[in-house]
Amino acid sequence: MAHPLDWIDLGRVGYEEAFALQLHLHALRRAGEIADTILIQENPPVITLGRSASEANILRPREELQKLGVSVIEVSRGGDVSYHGPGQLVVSAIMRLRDRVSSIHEYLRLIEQVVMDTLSGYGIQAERVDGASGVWTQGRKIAAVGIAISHGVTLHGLAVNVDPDLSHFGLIRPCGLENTGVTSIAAITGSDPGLIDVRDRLLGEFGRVFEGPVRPSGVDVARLMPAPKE
Amino acid sequence: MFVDVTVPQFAEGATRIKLNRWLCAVGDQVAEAQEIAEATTDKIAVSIEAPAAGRLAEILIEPGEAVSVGQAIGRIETT
Repeated sequence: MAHPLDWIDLGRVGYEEAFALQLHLHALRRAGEIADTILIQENPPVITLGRSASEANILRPREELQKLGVSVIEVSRGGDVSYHGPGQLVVSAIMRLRDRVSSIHEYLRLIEQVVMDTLSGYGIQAERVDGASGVWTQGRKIAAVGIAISHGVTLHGLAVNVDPDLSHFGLIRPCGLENTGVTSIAAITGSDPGLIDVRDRLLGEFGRVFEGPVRPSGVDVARLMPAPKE
Repeated sequence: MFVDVTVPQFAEGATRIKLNRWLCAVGDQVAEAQEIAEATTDKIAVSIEAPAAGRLAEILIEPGEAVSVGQAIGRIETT
């Protein structure tokens, strides 16, 4: 039986508000009240610290980050330090693992496949790199992958650089790696396809790779979202 | 009766699994399916849940140590 994939696009939203919603959806998925759900968002500039994060991988003092409008928060995914910001498509997948795969390793490979196949649609040859997380092209990271699993249901997912301010990635040492560059779809192809175009292609690949119908979610997001901070 | 807390089977295939931290201490009462520890691979954070309700009787693995799928990391005395 094919398990459907419902999607929600929050547009531009604060990381913490969106994460609170993600936890809500995770609880609903665990309770079997909703289908597997893909949550899509774009964040204002933010540095997130994963569970194995080292503060030393934030390369600028907090005051300087504050001046640049970049906030710093701790999150529950695996991995080290990540940057999210405008021009980057952040995609969280809330999936009950046992319905789809036999291991988290297999799940991770499928998530990476979704990203690589999406990039392939823009003529970008991307690959996994042994010992490094994310998806890479021409020796640079073009998408971050960070996953958590709790009670058999996944959280977090991936972030594709569509056309972000690449200089902001210089504020961190991405995922603890030395001397690695970061790139974007726009930097490689010379044009910004826009987040909506990338979103739609990603959703198509999710449906193909995970073999389920992709459909808009009927969840009332406005009811579940906390009020945005002023 | 004592029940082992183990690294979940679905973590199979993941390389370099490390116990990241305990969320409770020896002597704590835990509910069945409560998240009591976290493991990480280089890319994935995995919650480890109590297999039964009871008291965390023993911690076998300390944070920072490598673990493998199915390995016992602690023991719960069931109530």
